[in-house]
Amino acid sequence: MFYYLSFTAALFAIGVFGALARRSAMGIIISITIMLSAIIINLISFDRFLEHSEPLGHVWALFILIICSFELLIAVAAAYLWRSDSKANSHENLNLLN
Amino acid sequence: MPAIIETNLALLLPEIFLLVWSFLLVAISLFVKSRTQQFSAIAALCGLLVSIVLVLLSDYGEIAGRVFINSSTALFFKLICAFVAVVSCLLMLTTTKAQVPERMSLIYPLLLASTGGMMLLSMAENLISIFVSLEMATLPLLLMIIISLSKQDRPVAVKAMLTSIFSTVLILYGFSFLYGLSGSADLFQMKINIAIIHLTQRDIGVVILLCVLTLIAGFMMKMHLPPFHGWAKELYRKLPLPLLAFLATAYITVILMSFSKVFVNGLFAFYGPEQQPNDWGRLVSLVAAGAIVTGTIKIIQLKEIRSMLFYLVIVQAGFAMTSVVSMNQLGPQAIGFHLVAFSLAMIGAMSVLYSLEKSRNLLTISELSGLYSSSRPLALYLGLFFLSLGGLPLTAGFVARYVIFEAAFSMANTDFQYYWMFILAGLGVLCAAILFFYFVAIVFSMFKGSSQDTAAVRLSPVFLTVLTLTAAATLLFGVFPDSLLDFSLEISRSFGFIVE
Repeated sequence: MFYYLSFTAALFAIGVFGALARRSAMGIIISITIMLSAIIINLISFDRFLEHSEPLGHVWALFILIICSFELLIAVAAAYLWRSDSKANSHENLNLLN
Repeated sequence: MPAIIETNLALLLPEIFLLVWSFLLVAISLFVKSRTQQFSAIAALCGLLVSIVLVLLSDYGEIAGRVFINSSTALFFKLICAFVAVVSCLLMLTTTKAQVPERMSLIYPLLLASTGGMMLLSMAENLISIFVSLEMATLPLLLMIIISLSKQDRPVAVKAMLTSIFSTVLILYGFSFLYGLSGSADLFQMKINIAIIHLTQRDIGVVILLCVLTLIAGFMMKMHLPPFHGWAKELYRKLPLPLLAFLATAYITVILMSFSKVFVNGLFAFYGPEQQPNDWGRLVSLVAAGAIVTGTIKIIQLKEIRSMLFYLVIVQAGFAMTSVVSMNQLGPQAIGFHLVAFSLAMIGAMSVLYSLEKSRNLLTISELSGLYSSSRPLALYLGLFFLSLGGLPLTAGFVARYVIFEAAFSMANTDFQYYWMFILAGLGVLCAAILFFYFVAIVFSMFKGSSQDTAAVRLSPVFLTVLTLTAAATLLFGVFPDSLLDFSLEISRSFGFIVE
């Protein structure tokens, strides 16, 4: 369990770093996907190793996969629209903190 | 054999109706031209009014176990969301054709869907249902932002979208730990389980700290609190005011409500000085103090109306968080009262500013000077809403501030270890006083100054009715606050506090 949690924490940290350091929309989306993977592994490992009375982790992981996929799909579409409108990929300079 | 859970879908009728109505409107808007969008607006308005009636008629009870609970607390927040949505819809209805972006008719079904999501969020008592309904409220709102912004402002929409997903993921990471520690997604069960684990296992400190930090960061990003407020600045400048009113009041209200649900219920065991360094109370106080102080300083410095509104939302969120950390029966009551008072004053002020923006292209605070000489009703309404936001006695804003600081000081008085509550409440009082004088100065200039634009602004009867209702409620809750205070005391009960 400890190894799984450490692995997901590392994965999540890489995702956070990527999302904050990247300046392109696609880079940020990929980083968020890495963060989502960490959450899903977290939930499933909790279900696998802890004897919960209601093992909901798998169900929750499925919800996250479906809903966040839709959300990310819209984000990709919005980013694509922006790119095709401006026709200037090099000017893409997104910063989530500012 | 597993116990059969009663689904009780009848209690979800207002939300189901809103979602079905929004799908129908989407289908209609695909076939009608944008010039018939007035039909969409009126249909959306009717849908919202029907859902308000259904909300008022629906019984209290649990839905699908304890996934959703329809209680007086849920009713309270549902009515706020529905009222704000109705006003936003009315404001959009008054938009002239020149200001209408392409495919505007899609905005109305999305507004309904988002309101439905917010209503579900008001009832959510389970981490999974909170996540799902949060997304149901956020996703249509983001789509509205993308649709309503022009091509030049596309980066603002993309940034809002990405920040929203990022904050959701941060919250989810915290939720996953809460689920792992407690073994349950139900908030009430979680409160008990985490308290037991806290007593039996001492080595969960790092996990709790990680969980608290990610949750606070996620919610801060959702509410655009400093230092994560940069992404929303441009959004507040570019977004049409009716949508901004919906975002700044209804959305922030439900986010604050779910924030308090998760922390007060879920992490109840980790509040207090003895829980250091896992005490979320101090961390949230720090965030609240940062929001109040930064917001107040920026409001005084800035000249633009929209920027002032942006920082005003931050300050109000800071005040609401002050009542979240006051872990006594007065805290949740203060949140409820404050959110009603703030929503009323904010939606009223934004409505007036929208009509001024439309007719005069008014952008800065100095341009409000002399408004009374040119447009008396607007000046009177705006003056009242600004004074309520500033906290003038006999308005709802004053009672809200009073209840918040009463809750904070009574918490600080319980033990010397809560000295930081004194600091937070003291900073709050200081900033509230500064804001009061700031708004009094603006209102004074509105009544005494001279106006460059003397053309009177014409108001439609519907618009005037909305303003009158909002202003009357602001005054009513200021002069006779007891009924609303008693009603918001139910929030304290639902959070498990013993109400005397």
